[in-house]
Amino acid sequence: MSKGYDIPNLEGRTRLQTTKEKSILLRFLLCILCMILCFGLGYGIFYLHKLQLFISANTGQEVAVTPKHTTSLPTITEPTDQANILLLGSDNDQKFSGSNPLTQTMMVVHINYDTKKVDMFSIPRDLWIQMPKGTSYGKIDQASEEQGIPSAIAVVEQTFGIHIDHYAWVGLYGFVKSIDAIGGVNLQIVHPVLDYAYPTDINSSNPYGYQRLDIQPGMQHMDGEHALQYVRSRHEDVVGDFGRTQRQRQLLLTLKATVLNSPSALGQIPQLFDTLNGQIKTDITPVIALQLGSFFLTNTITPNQFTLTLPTYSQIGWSTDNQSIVIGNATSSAQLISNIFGSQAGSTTYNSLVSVQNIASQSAKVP
Amino acid sequence: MKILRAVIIFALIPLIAGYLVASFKGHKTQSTVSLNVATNNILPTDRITLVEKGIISSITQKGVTSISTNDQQLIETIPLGENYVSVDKQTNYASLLEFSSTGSLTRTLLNGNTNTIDTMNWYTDPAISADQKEIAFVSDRDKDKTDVQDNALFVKNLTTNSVKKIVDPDPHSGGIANPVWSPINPNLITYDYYQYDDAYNPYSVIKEYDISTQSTNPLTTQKQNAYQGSFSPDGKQFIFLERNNDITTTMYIADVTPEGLSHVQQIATGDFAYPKFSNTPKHIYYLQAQENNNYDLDTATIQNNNMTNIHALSTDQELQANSGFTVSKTTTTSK
Repeated sequence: MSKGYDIPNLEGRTRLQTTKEKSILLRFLLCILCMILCFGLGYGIFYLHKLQLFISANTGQEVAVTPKHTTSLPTITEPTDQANILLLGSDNDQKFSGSNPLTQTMMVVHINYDTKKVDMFSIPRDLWIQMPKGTSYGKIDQASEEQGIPSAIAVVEQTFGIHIDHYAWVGLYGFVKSIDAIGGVNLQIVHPVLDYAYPTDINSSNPYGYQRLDIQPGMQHMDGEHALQYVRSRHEDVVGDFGRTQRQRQLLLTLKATVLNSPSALGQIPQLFDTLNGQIKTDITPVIALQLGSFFLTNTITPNQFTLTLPTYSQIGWSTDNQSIVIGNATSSAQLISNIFGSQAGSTTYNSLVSVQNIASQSAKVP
Repeated sequence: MKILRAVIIFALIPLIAGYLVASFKGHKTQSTVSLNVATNNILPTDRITLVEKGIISSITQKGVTSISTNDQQLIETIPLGENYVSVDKQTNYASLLEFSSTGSLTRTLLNGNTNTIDTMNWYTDPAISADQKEIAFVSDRDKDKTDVQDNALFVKNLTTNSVKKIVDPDPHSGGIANPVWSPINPNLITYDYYQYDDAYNPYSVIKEYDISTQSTNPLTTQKQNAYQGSFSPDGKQFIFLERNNDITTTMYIADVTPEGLSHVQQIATGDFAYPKFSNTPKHIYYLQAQENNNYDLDTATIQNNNMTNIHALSTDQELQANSGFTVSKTTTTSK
């Protein structure tokens, strides 16, 4: 009985028909594949565009002319077996009017790609050193007042005998926005932080005013502003800048864990690009950023942390104009630097800190 | 013409669609998430109270009761009969406020606002005594008298409104936090005491203070670096955390004896906060960090010094650990 249509005679199909069907199927699959690829391409173009805008807005290469590299930009090299990244933070608050703020936070991250070892060492802002031009002495955070970031890089290279491959600088506003963009950060407060004179110098009608802080111990979820308070406060900290440095390193490690572990934080990266424009400076290119990201994503690394503010490595003194300063212990500091960066760096560190100790009677008083 | 059409359909349109989807995702704002609790994992004996973004939530196995206080600055809350005592933390001061079961402000127990920044006070970590007649808290309110800026331990009588300082920290030690009343001894309060060692490394010790004898006694050692202790409902056990480093903690459980803690047993290591006993023996509640930067409120059974039968009460939300939570009995306080 006819049903109004022909039942295909499969046995009677010719080779030509089979080939034609295969060809149609192949074309169909190719079209689907093409659509998927183009969709992905469009998706990628958006993020690439964002990244490009971000890099062009924030790269500091145009200012990276160090006294050491007087006429040319510092060479940006791809990560080889090791890399040194200088992290800088400045109080570029509402009171600050110049173009080159002090770099109150200075931290060197030493990455060894071969051994998969990362060392972080914090440099006390008050470390008394010979300035890059070699004629005067001052606190290490004051070096940047000369030529900005290049001077900060130069003074670290000169004092510790290491080469800085890359740098990243962040100001107060950039810091706050970065933390907010990833949805805040959970911090284990290991000691109460009470401050009765914390400066109200960002987003404030009175940049010369102050406020009270009470950050209680235990786990705290902090937005950008509160995280900044935590790492910036030092007035009531019995260990002064050392306590603050410890808190800064703790935040950095927590941020690393937060960003790497949290897909939602990674999802905020486009927002971060939007909010950070002009708030940070770095010479880290997208290629190197991807390599660094890949390194930290694929390796579980807990950095060794050192700070030159510890009593072993330094002691408190006063400059002749009565500034509170930190005098580096040449022997123990050189040993630490040697362990991280090699004996040549250790030797340079020893010489530079010994020279400061030798002139201490002229430029500083050590108790 | 056919080729052009194919390029438009199979390449150009998907390309633009991909860009637009990414653009939409890139600009999408975070949605607000409401408190979502798996109440079936709460034991029938327990009522959990916490505050998030000005909303006090009282959670039992029967469900969640949320009370809006219109005060976004509330960071801690504890039940006081039918009411709640909460810490209202402003920029320069904190106050202890009492809210009714409908969320209206009943009274200000302690006002940190003196209108002059240098004399403003912090009032935090309230703890209600078992008979609900007194409230312990920490504050810097005596800083002008003692020159000690850190938080000291006080007790306020809720009937007479008298306030008495019971423990003053050493100058520049770090101060006192987290007072906890013994459920069976009305004279006993434990607290976390923050200090520095000789090399200026911070640490904390849990101490107990006996109001009747005015004596203090350390319950943990300097090496343990312990904090956030809490009694079992029968007062015979104590649970606390040991800080291993900036991220991980170890949870301990111990027997309470007249001489201090004994049979101290490690039960778990992780990123924990505020461990508390359930009113059902051998069960606990605690906060645990999740990879998404939030905290889950979890429950577990303690068996042979191990945590088993672990369940998350809160799921997929912005529960944050700032304020902790309290566990009370449903029979006396649930509505």
